[in-house]
Amino acid sequence: MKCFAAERSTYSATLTVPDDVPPTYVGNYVGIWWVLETKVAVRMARDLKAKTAVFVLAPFPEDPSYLLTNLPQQAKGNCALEFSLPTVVLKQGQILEGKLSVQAVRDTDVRELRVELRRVEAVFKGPLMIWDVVPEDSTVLATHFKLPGGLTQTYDVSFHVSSAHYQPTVATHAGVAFWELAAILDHGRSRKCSATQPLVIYNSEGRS
Amino acid sequence: MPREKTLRVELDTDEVLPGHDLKATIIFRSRRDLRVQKASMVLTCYGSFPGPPANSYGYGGRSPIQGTPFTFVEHQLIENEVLRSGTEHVFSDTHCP
Repeated sequence: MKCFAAERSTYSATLTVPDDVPPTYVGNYVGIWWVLETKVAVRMARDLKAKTAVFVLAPFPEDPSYLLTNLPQQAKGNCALEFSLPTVVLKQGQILEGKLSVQAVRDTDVRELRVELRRVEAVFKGPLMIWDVVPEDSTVLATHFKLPGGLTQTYDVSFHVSSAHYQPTVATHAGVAFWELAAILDHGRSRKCSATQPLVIYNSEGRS
Repeated sequence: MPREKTLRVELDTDEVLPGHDLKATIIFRSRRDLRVQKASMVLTCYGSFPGPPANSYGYGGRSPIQGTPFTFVEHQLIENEVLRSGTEHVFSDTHCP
């Protein structure tokens, strides 16, 4: 009689994830993922292989200004839209709260003033940067009102930075993915007035 | 009929911070004596940057790099040999009662 008692050999291994590596990012046009590949080479038999997904988290950035200076900040149109935020570094799952001030050079009939929280995924391709905007949330602050020229109006802004996915701010040589807050003032003309504020999003507390 | 030999890897946690340790347990099952020449683990970062489809002006378009190892992290690959290379480890034999 042949015996087939189950045998089991267990080994432990510890790997150190290097510093300064990109975190896991699950996006539409940018994807970064980590895989732990295990291989057991067996003499005179087929090797055994296993792949295990590992999620590398983005810690609180030690130098967010470095990231922020490399992210685009735009302002277009004949009006001034400016965010006032207590911080532009947030953890996924947190509430982003701040204010938006709006000022027009001359009296303006505004159709709609809205604020969007969105992710920007940009891929470097030679001298070109190809980018795409993925809206995450949007709030209409006001519709159909007259904005007197030279007068500043202020609005409260509040968004929940979703924690549903691994989507922190990522900057690599091949592409970047970051969040931004955008204000869009639609005054019925072909060019809308807009402004963006990049955000640094992380998904884990410090390195302790 | 169960497989003759199987390999399973369990992580203490599948979420890890850069600069921190990733602890793995490798569970190897076999119904026969097997000589394992080497067991190794490699942690690899892959990047996919296809970008959005080309727009109506012809700008953009997906890049061919999809799911290939991310070059600048490739230099930082880690290899941790569970059994030293060249060492032969004989797994315990079955013992009939």
